[in-house]
Amino acid sequence: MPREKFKTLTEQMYYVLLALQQELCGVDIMEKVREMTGSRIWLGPGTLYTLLGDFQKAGLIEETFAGGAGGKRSYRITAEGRNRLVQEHQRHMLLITDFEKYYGKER
Amino acid sequence: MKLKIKNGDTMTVRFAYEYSELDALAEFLEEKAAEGWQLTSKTGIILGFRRCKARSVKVAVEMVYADDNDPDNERFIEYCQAAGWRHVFSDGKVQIFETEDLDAEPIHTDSVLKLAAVHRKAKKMQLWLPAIVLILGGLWMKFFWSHFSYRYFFSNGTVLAMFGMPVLLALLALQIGVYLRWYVKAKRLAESGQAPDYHRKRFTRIADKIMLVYIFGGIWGSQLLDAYFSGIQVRFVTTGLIFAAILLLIVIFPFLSARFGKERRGNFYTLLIIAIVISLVFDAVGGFLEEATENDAYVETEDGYVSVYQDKLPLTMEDLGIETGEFIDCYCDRGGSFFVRHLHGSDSSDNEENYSLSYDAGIGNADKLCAWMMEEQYNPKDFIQVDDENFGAEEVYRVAISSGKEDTWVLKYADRAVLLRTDIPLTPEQKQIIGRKFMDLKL
Repeated sequence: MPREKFKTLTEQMYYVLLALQQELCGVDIMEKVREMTGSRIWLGPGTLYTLLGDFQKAGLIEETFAGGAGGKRSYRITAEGRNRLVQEHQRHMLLITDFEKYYGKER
Repeated sequence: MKLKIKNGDTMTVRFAYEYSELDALAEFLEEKAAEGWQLTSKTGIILGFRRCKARSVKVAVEMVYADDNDPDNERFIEYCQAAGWRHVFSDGKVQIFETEDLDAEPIHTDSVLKLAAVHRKAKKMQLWLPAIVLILGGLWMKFFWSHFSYRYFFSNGTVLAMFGMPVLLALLALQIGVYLRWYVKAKRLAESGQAPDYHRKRFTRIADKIMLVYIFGGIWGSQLLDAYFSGIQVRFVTTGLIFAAILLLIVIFPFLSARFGKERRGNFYTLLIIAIVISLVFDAVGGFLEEATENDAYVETEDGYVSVYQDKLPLTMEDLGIETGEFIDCYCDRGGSFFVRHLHGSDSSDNEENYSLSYDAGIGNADKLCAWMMEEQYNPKDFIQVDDENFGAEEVYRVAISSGKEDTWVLKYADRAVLLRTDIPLTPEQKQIIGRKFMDLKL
């Protein structure tokens, strides 16, 4: 059964939303994600470009302009995006709780 | 199929690929870079290269879906360049990048998103368009075969359509199936975290070769043959020139691209329009020259302009002893294929009794020709076989009930048939002349 779009987030989606708690332009988002994950996650520019477009359409982020007309396009997370991030965090916490509760107990 | 044309420091290559085979194109460009060739132009499947120092590079060929806020994909290119990929070329939806860092991270790090981008673009060219062509082609084939006539064998073009079109339609159907199969498999792989295969499919290579043979060998060849069998030299030459002009344009286009900027050279579609206009001009010039050398021409004489017959009509009213006046109105049209040669002739020249004469003659399968001739003009049941040796034919048929004074005959010989229409009350001698003329006919 196909997954509803953004019902669960991949690692790359998660970190893009996390990074956009502050207003950033596209190029800086790649750098920010690398910094946040200690270079563990590499966000490909093509993936970033696609995600920004999809997130905008889903209302999870909004586009802003830095430096007036002709300035670079920046993005930041919306309230909807924050809710999504919190939901994803809660989902992961549930996974962690269940793991701690059940892992190794059936030996 | 790669078609290479080298000219000193430049090279044109035809590299056919589908949207599901982007890695194949990337690897090809890497090979060329290692051999010392830099990509300078790309229009569809035609690639232009220029000599350069041999380099070891990693190439990425990416599909970008249209973003209203980024119509020229500038932001996409900016992000890739920031990640260490140098932008080489844009060809509409296809973007080509390269980097000297062979360990560089790929442009797409999410297989699902990459596949979605490819599929979004590929859907139109790999599914909807072929499906529309398949439906329309299927309807046309159904109509074609439901109205089948032996006349279809009169032209090499229609013979090609009879047998070639079903093959092409089958290929199209297979193409849709192959793409769907690839997409389903690719989606499963991407969703399980593995990278789908974007390399060349064997089917694509075979289908591409068949398409090339059909288009250049088949369509061009059949048009040239039709022109050849018409017996009109000018038509043969202009048909050859039209196709040669189109081929030349495709070949020289990358040279123009390397030399001129995009604004000056336009794009592939501009040149295609130019090629079509040139072809139409050639066709018009050829038609004009044909008119000047074919059938009748008006010549000024002391009695004014008269029509002077110039073409070789195998049978005229004068051959039958009918005296014709100054105004000559004759027409002859030849054609054919490897299966049947045919000729349509008519003589309505000015004469005292106002007689006219027209005929269709074919050299091929005499039984099929006779059947076609009877069906074309009348209901075959309206013809009765008569015993008349004067024509020298194996079988002679005549319309039982004719309209007006005109008689219609079908004459069957060993390897030919003739449909004769005339209101001349034919004498035995005239019938013998007719028989000899058509038995000696060479097409």
